[in-house]
Amino acid sequence: MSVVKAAREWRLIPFGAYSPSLNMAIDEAIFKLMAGNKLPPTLRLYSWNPPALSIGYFQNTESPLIKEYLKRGYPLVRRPTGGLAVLHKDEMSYSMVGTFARDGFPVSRQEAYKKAHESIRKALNDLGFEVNLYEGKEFGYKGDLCSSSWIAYDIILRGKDKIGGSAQRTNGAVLLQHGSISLPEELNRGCLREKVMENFEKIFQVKLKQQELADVELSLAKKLVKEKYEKWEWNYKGGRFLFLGRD
Amino acid sequence: MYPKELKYTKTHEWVGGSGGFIKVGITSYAAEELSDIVYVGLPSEGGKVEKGSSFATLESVKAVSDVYSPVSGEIHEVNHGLQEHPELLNKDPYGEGWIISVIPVGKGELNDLMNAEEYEKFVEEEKGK
Repeated sequence: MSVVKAAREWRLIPFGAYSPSLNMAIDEAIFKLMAGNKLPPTLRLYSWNPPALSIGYFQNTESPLIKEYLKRGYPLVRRPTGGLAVLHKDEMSYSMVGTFARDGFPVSRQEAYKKAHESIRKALNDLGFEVNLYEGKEFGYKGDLCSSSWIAYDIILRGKDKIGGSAQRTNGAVLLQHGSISLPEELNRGCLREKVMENFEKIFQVKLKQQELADVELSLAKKLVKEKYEKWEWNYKGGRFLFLGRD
Repeated sequence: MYPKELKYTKTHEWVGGSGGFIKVGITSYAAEELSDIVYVGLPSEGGKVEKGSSFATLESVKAVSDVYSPVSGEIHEVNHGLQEHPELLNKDPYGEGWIISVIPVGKGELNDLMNAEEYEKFVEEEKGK
Protein backbone atom coordinates (compact mmCIF):
# COMPACT_ATOMS: atom_id res chain seq x y z
CA MET A 1 0.00 0.00 0.00
CA SER A 2 1.37 3.39 -0.85
CA VAL A 3 0.79 6.36 1.34
CA VAL A 4 0.31 9.65 -0.43
CA LYS A 5 1.44 12.52 1.73
CA ALA A 6 -1.08 15.35 1.75
CA ALA A 7 0.35 18.59 0.35
CA ARG A 8 1.03 21.23 2.94
CA GLU A 9 -1.19 24.26 2.80
CA TRP A 10 0.12 27.75 2.24
CA ARG A 11 -1.97 30.87 2.43
CA LEU A 12 -2.60 32.86 -0.75
CA ILE A 13 -3.59 36.49 -0.29
CA PRO A 14 -6.08 37.59 -2.98
CA PHE A 15 -4.61 39.71 -5.77
CA GLY A 16 -4.91 43.48 -5.48
CA ALA A 17 -3.39 46.66 -6.91
CA TYR A 18 -2.39 48.94 -4.05
CA SER A 19 -0.46 52.11 -3.34
CA PRO A 20 3.34 51.82 -2.96
CA SER A 21 3.19 52.48 0.79
CA LEU A 22 0.42 49.95 1.41
CA ASN A 23 2.15 47.27 -0.66
CA MET A 24 5.31 47.55 1.43
CA ALA A 25 3.35 47.82 4.68
CA ILE A 26 1.34 44.65 3.94
CA ASP A 27 4.52 42.68 3.17
CA GLU A 28 6.18 43.90 6.36
CA ALA A 29 3.06 43.23 8.47
CA ILE A 30 2.87 39.61 7.28
CA PHE A 31 6.62 39.27 7.96
CA LYS A 32 6.50 40.82 11.44
CA LEU A 33 3.52 38.77 12.57
CA MET A 34 4.57 35.46 11.06
CA ALA A 35 6.57 34.14 14.01
CA GLY A 36 4.25 35.04 16.87
CA ASN A 37 0.97 34.11 15.23
CA LYS A 38 1.73 30.67 13.84
CA LEU A 39 0.58 31.70 10.39
CA PRO A 40 1.31 29.34 7.50
CA PRO A 41 3.79 30.39 4.81
CA THR A 42 2.10 33.08 2.77
CA LEU A 43 2.22 33.97 -0.91
CA ARG A 44 0.90 37.25 -2.20
CA LEU A 45 0.64 38.39 -5.83
CA TYR A 46 0.01 42.07 -6.36
CA SER A 47 0.51 45.13 -8.49
CA TRP A 48 1.06 48.84 -7.94
CA ASN A 49 -1.42 51.65 -8.37
CA PRO A 50 -0.09 54.17 -9.21
CA PRO A 51 3.07 52.82 -10.88
CA ALA A 52 6.02 53.59 -8.60
CA LEU A 53 9.74 53.24 -8.00
CA SER A 54 10.77 51.04 -5.07
CA ILE A 55 14.31 51.29 -3.75
CA GLY A 56 16.43 49.00 -1.56
CA TYR A 57 16.77 49.41 2.20
CA PHE A 58 20.26 50.91 1.91
CA GLN A 59 19.92 52.80 -1.37
CA ASN A 60 20.82 56.45 -1.60
CA THR A 61 18.09 58.70 -3.05
CA GLU A 62 20.69 61.23 -4.14
CA SER A 63 21.61 59.09 -7.15
CA PRO A 64 21.04 60.88 -10.47
CA LEU A 65 19.09 57.94 -11.84
CA ILE A 66 16.66 57.87 -8.93
CA LYS A 67 16.27 61.65 -9.19
CA GLU A 68 15.45 61.23 -12.86
CA TYR A 69 12.56 58.87 -12.06
CA LEU A 70 11.30 61.28 -9.42
CA LYS A 71 11.40 64.10 -11.97
CA ARG A 72 9.23 61.98 -14.23
CA GLY A 73 6.64 61.93 -11.46
CA TYR A 74 6.91 58.38 -10.11
CA PRO A 75 6.25 58.12 -6.39
CA LEU A 76 9.05 56.49 -4.40
CA VAL A 77 8.96 53.97 -1.58
CA ARG A 78 11.85 52.39 0.29
CA ARG A 79 11.52 48.64 0.74
CA PRO A 80 12.26 46.79 3.99
CA THR A 81 14.46 44.48 1.87
CA GLY A 82 17.82 44.86 0.15
CA GLY A 83 18.66 45.22 -3.52
CA LEU A 84 18.30 47.99 -6.05
CA ALA A 85 15.62 50.22 -7.59
CA VAL A 86 12.67 48.66 -9.44
CA LEU A 87 10.11 50.48 -11.56
CA HIS A 88 6.77 48.85 -10.84
CA LYS A 89 5.03 49.50 -14.12
CA ASP A 90 3.74 46.84 -16.53
CA GLU A 91 4.86 44.22 -14.06
CA MET A 92 3.59 41.80 -11.46
CA SER A 93 4.96 41.63 -7.95
CA TYR A 94 4.93 38.77 -5.48
CA SER A 95 5.90 38.29 -1.89
CA MET A 96 6.44 35.14 0.12
CA VAL A 97 6.89 34.92 3.87
CA GLY A 98 7.59 31.90 6.01
CA THR A 99 9.81 30.26 8.57
CA PHE A 100 12.80 28.35 7.19
CA ALA A 101 12.25 24.59 6.97
CA ARG A 102 8.69 24.76 8.29
CA ASP A 103 5.54 23.69 6.36
CA GLY A 104 7.44 23.13 3.15
CA PHE A 105 9.15 26.53 3.26
CA PRO A 106 12.74 26.48 1.90
CA VAL A 107 15.59 25.85 4.32
CA SER A 108 17.72 28.81 3.24
CA ARG A 109 17.62 32.21 1.58
CA GLN A 110 19.35 30.76 -1.47
CA GLU A 111 16.81 27.96 -1.84
CA ALA A 112 13.93 30.43 -1.49
CA TYR A 113 15.40 32.66 -4.21
CA LYS A 114 15.99 29.74 -6.56
CA LYS A 115 12.63 28.00 -6.07
CA ALA A 116 10.51 31.15 -6.37
CA HIS A 117 12.33 32.11 -9.56
CA GLU A 118 12.08 28.58 -10.87
CA SER A 119 8.28 28.76 -10.41
CA ILE A 120 8.14 32.03 -12.33
CA ARG A 121 10.46 30.77 -15.07
CA LYS A 122 8.31 27.70 -15.53
CA ALA A 123 5.15 29.87 -15.64
CA LEU A 124 6.64 32.03 -18.38
CA ASN A 125 7.87 28.97 -20.29
CA ASP A 126 4.36 27.48 -20.13
CA LEU A 127 3.08 30.69 -21.69
CA GLY A 128 5.55 30.33 -24.55
CA PHE A 129 8.29 32.74 -23.51
CA GLU A 130 11.96 31.93 -23.86
CA VAL A 131 13.09 32.50 -20.32
CA ASN A 132 15.87 31.00 -18.23
CA LEU A 133 17.58 31.55 -14.89
CA TYR A 134 20.95 33.29 -14.83
CA GLU A 135 23.70 30.87 -13.87
CA GLY A 136 26.50 33.31 -13.09
CA LYS A 137 27.98 33.22 -9.64
CA GLU A 138 29.46 36.69 -9.23
CA PHE A 139 27.77 39.28 -7.08
CA GLY A 140 28.15 43.01 -7.16
CA TYR A 141 25.75 45.84 -7.64
CA LYS A 142 26.06 47.50 -11.03
CA GLY A 143 24.40 50.87 -11.15
CA ASP A 144 21.19 51.70 -9.29
CA LEU A 145 18.66 49.56 -11.13
CA CYS A 146 17.82 45.99 -10.21
CA SER A 147 17.47 45.13 -13.89
CA SER A 148 21.10 46.02 -14.61
CA SER A 149 22.56 43.87 -11.81
CA TRP A 150 22.39 40.13 -12.45
CA ILE A 151 22.87 37.55 -9.75
CA ALA A 152 22.45 33.77 -9.74
CA TYR A 153 18.89 32.62 -10.57
CA ASP A 154 17.67 35.99 -11.84
CA ILE A 155 15.04 35.64 -14.56
CA ILE A 156 16.35 36.38 -18.04
CA LEU A 157 14.29 36.80 -21.22
CA ARG A 158 15.81 35.57 -24.50
CA GLY A 159 19.26 35.48 -22.90
CA LYS A 160 19.59 39.24 -22.78
CA ASP A 161 17.07 41.08 -20.60
CA LYS A 162 16.64 40.61 -16.88
CA ILE A 163 12.90 40.65 -16.31
CA GLY A 164 12.68 39.26 -12.80
CA GLY A 165 14.57 39.66 -9.54
CA SER A 166 13.84 39.48 -5.84
CA ALA A 167 15.03 40.94 -2.54
CA GLN A 168 14.97 39.56 0.98
CA ARG A 169 14.77 40.40 4.65
CA THR A 170 15.35 37.99 7.49
CA ASN A 171 14.35 38.16 11.11
CA GLY A 172 15.82 35.14 12.84
CA ALA A 173 14.32 32.17 11.02
CA VAL A 174 11.58 34.17 9.27
CA LEU A 175 12.12 35.26 5.68
CA LEU A 176 10.38 37.92 3.62
CA GLN A 177 11.17 37.67 -0.06
CA HIS A 178 9.52 39.85 -2.64
CA GLY A 179 10.19 40.43 -6.27
CA SER A 180 8.97 41.86 -9.52
CA ILE A 181 8.45 40.40 -12.98
CA SER A 182 8.32 42.78 -15.95
CA LEU A 183 5.61 41.61 -18.27
CA PRO A 184 6.92 40.74 -21.71
CA GLU A 185 4.86 42.39 -24.46
CA GLU A 186 1.53 40.76 -25.23
CA LEU A 187 1.43 38.97 -21.89
CA ASN A 188 -1.70 39.35 -19.86
CA ARG A 189 -1.14 39.74 -16.11
CA GLY A 190 -4.08 37.46 -15.31
CA CYS A 191 -2.62 34.58 -17.33
CA LEU A 192 0.75 34.96 -15.66
CA ARG A 193 -0.88 35.01 -12.24
CA GLU A 194 -2.67 31.72 -12.83
CA LYS A 195 0.47 30.04 -14.14
CA VAL A 196 2.66 31.38 -11.32
CA MET A 197 0.26 29.99 -8.70
CA GLU A 198 0.13 26.64 -10.46
CA ASN A 199 3.92 26.40 -10.63
CA PHE A 200 4.48 27.57 -7.05
CA GLU A 201 2.28 24.66 -5.97
CA LYS A 202 4.29 22.22 -8.09
CA ILE A 203 7.76 23.42 -7.21
CA PHE A 204 7.23 23.95 -3.50
CA GLN A 205 4.92 20.90 -3.35
CA VAL A 206 2.24 22.78 -1.48
CA LYS A 207 -1.41 23.64 -1.87
CA LEU A 208 -2.33 27.33 -2.00
CA LYS A 209 -5.47 28.27 -0.12
CA GLN A 210 -6.91 31.70 -0.73
CA GLN A 211 -7.44 33.65 2.45
CA GLU A 212 -7.78 37.34 3.32
CA LEU A 213 -5.24 39.06 5.57
CA ALA A 214 -5.94 38.63 9.28
CA ASP A 215 -7.31 41.69 11.11
CA VAL A 216 -4.12 41.97 13.11
CA GLU A 217 -2.06 42.07 9.89
CA LEU A 218 -4.30 44.66 8.32
CA SER A 219 -4.18 46.95 11.32
CA LEU A 220 -0.38 46.66 11.56
CA ALA A 221 -0.16 47.41 7.82
CA LYS A 222 -2.23 50.57 8.25
CA LYS A 223 -0.02 51.66 11.13
CA LEU A 224 3.14 51.03 9.06
CA VAL A 225 1.74 53.09 6.18
CA LYS A 226 1.26 56.04 8.47
CA GLU A 227 4.36 55.74 10.60
CA LYS A 228 6.89 54.45 8.10
CA TYR A 229 6.12 54.03 4.41
CA GLU A 230 4.48 57.42 3.92
CA LYS A 231 7.19 59.19 5.89
CA TRP A 232 9.70 61.25 3.98
CA GLU A 233 12.34 60.32 6.58
CA TRP A 234 12.00 56.59 5.88
CA ASN A 235 11.72 56.86 2.12
CA TYR A 236 14.53 59.38 1.63
CA LYS A 237 16.80 58.79 4.62
CA GLY A 238 16.21 55.12 5.35
CA GLY A 239 18.51 53.58 7.91
CA ARG A 240 19.24 56.85 9.65
CA PHE A 241 15.53 57.29 10.33
CA LEU A 242 15.36 53.71 11.53
CA PHE A 243 17.60 54.32 14.48
CA LEU A 244 15.88 57.54 15.45
CA GLY A 245 12.40 56.08 15.39
CA ARG A 246 13.19 52.34 15.69
CA ASP A 247 12.11 49.87 13.06
CA MET B 1 37.28 26.95 15.82
CA TYR B 2 35.44 29.75 17.66
CA PRO B 3 37.51 31.96 20.01
CA LYS B 4 37.34 30.54 23.54
CA GLU B 5 37.37 33.90 25.29
CA LEU B 6 34.06 34.97 23.70
CA LYS B 7 30.43 34.09 24.36
CA TYR B 8 27.80 33.42 21.73
CA THR B 9 24.08 33.87 21.03
CA LYS B 10 21.66 31.63 19.14
CA THR B 11 21.29 34.44 16.62
CA HIS B 12 25.03 34.18 15.87
CA GLU B 13 26.46 37.23 17.60
CA TRP B 14 29.56 37.13 19.81
CA VAL B 15 30.36 39.20 22.89
CA GLY B 16 33.61 39.69 24.66
CA GLY B 17 35.72 42.15 26.55
CA SER B 18 36.41 43.42 30.01
CA GLY B 19 36.81 46.59 32.01
CA GLY B 20 33.14 47.54 31.88
CA PHE B 21 32.90 47.51 28.08
CA ILE B 22 31.61 44.66 26.01
CA LYS B 23 32.30 44.33 22.31
CA VAL B 24 29.69 42.81 20.02
CA GLY B 25 30.03 41.37 16.52
CA ILE B 26 28.77 38.56 14.31
CA THR B 27 30.35 35.10 14.24
CA SER B 28 32.38 33.68 11.38
CA TYR B 29 29.53 31.23 10.75
CA ALA B 30 27.04 34.12 10.34
CA ALA B 31 29.46 35.96 8.07
CA GLU B 32 29.90 32.89 5.88
CA GLU B 33 26.18 32.30 5.69
CA LEU B 34 25.55 35.89 4.68
CA SER B 35 28.42 35.84 2.16
CA ASP B 36 29.68 39.20 0.87
CA ILE B 37 28.34 42.00 3.05
CA VAL B 38 27.96 45.21 1.05
CA TYR B 39 26.23 47.65 3.43
CA VAL B 40 26.09 48.12 7.16
CA GLY B 41 23.48 50.19 9.02
CA LEU B 42 24.92 51.29 12.35
CA PRO B 43 23.37 52.88 15.45
CA SER B 44 24.61 56.06 17.12
CA GLU B 45 27.02 56.30 20.02
CA GLY B 46 25.22 57.09 23.26
CA GLY B 47 22.07 55.29 22.12
CA LYS B 48 20.54 52.44 24.05
CA VAL B 49 20.44 48.78 23.10
CA GLU B 50 18.13 46.17 24.52
CA LYS B 51 18.94 42.52 24.93
CA GLY B 52 17.40 40.59 22.05
CA SER B 53 16.50 43.61 19.94
CA SER B 54 18.03 44.66 16.65
CA PHE B 55 20.74 47.32 16.77
CA ALA B 56 22.30 47.07 13.30
CA THR B 57 21.39 45.87 9.82
CA LEU B 58 23.56 44.20 7.20
CA GLU B 59 22.98 43.75 3.49
CA SER B 60 24.43 40.88 1.50
CA VAL B 61 23.34 39.55 -1.89
CA LYS B 62 20.10 41.53 -1.76
CA ALA B 63 19.13 40.38 1.72
CA VAL B 64 18.88 42.63 4.73
CA SER B 65 19.48 40.91 8.08
CA ASP B 66 19.31 42.23 11.61
CA VAL B 67 22.00 41.99 14.27
CA TYR B 68 20.62 41.51 17.79
CA SER B 69 22.14 42.77 20.99
CA PRO B 70 23.12 40.09 23.51
CA VAL B 71 22.98 42.66 26.33
CA SER B 72 21.09 45.76 27.39
CA GLY B 73 23.06 48.92 27.86
CA GLU B 74 24.45 52.08 26.37
CA ILE B 75 26.40 52.16 23.14
CA HIS B 76 29.86 53.39 24.03
CA GLU B 77 31.53 53.12 20.63
CA VAL B 78 30.55 52.24 17.08
CA ASN B 79 32.93 50.77 14.49
CA HIS B 80 32.34 53.43 11.83
CA GLY B 81 35.07 51.88 9.70
CA LEU B 82 32.56 49.21 8.67
CA GLN B 83 30.61 51.73 6.66
CA GLU B 84 33.52 52.16 4.29
CA HIS B 85 34.80 48.61 4.65
CA PRO B 86 31.86 46.25 5.26
CA GLU B 87 34.06 43.41 4.01
CA LEU B 88 35.82 43.45 7.41
CA LEU B 89 32.80 41.58 8.76
CA ASN B 90 33.64 38.71 6.41
CA LYS B 91 37.43 38.94 6.64
CA ASP B 92 37.96 39.52 10.34
CA PRO B 93 34.69 39.06 12.25
CA TYR B 94 36.31 38.76 15.71
CA GLY B 95 38.87 41.51 15.19
CA GLU B 96 38.50 44.53 12.97
CA GLY B 97 34.94 43.49 12.14
CA TRP B 98 33.54 44.22 15.64
CA ILE B 99 30.37 46.31 15.43
CA ILE B 100 29.72 48.12 18.71
CA SER B 101 30.99 48.31 22.25
CA VAL B 102 28.40 48.51 25.02
CA ILE B 103 28.38 49.54 28.67
CA PRO B 104 25.96 46.92 30.03
CA VAL B 105 23.31 48.02 32.53
CA GLY B 106 22.87 44.77 34.42
CA LYS B 107 25.16 42.04 35.62
CA GLY B 108 24.73 38.42 34.74
CA GLU B 109 23.18 38.98 31.33
CA LEU B 110 26.01 37.05 29.75
CA ASN B 111 25.34 33.99 31.86
CA ASP B 112 22.75 32.53 29.53
CA LEU B 113 25.01 32.78 26.48
CA MET B 114 26.92 29.84 25.02
CA ASN B 115 30.64 29.22 25.31
CA ALA B 116 32.70 28.36 22.22
CA GLU B 117 32.17 24.62 22.57
CA GLU B 118 28.41 24.92 23.07
CA TYR B 119 28.14 27.31 20.15
CA GLU B 120 30.04 24.94 17.88
CA LYS B 121 27.54 22.19 18.74
CA PHE B 122 24.64 24.58 18.16
CA VAL B 123 25.97 25.48 14.71
CA GLU B 124 26.33 21.80 13.80
CA GLU B 125 22.69 21.27 14.75
CA GLU B 126 21.63 24.28 12.69
CA LYS B 127 23.50 22.97 9.68
CA GLY B 128 21.80 19.61 10.01
CA LYS B 129 18.31 21.09 9.78
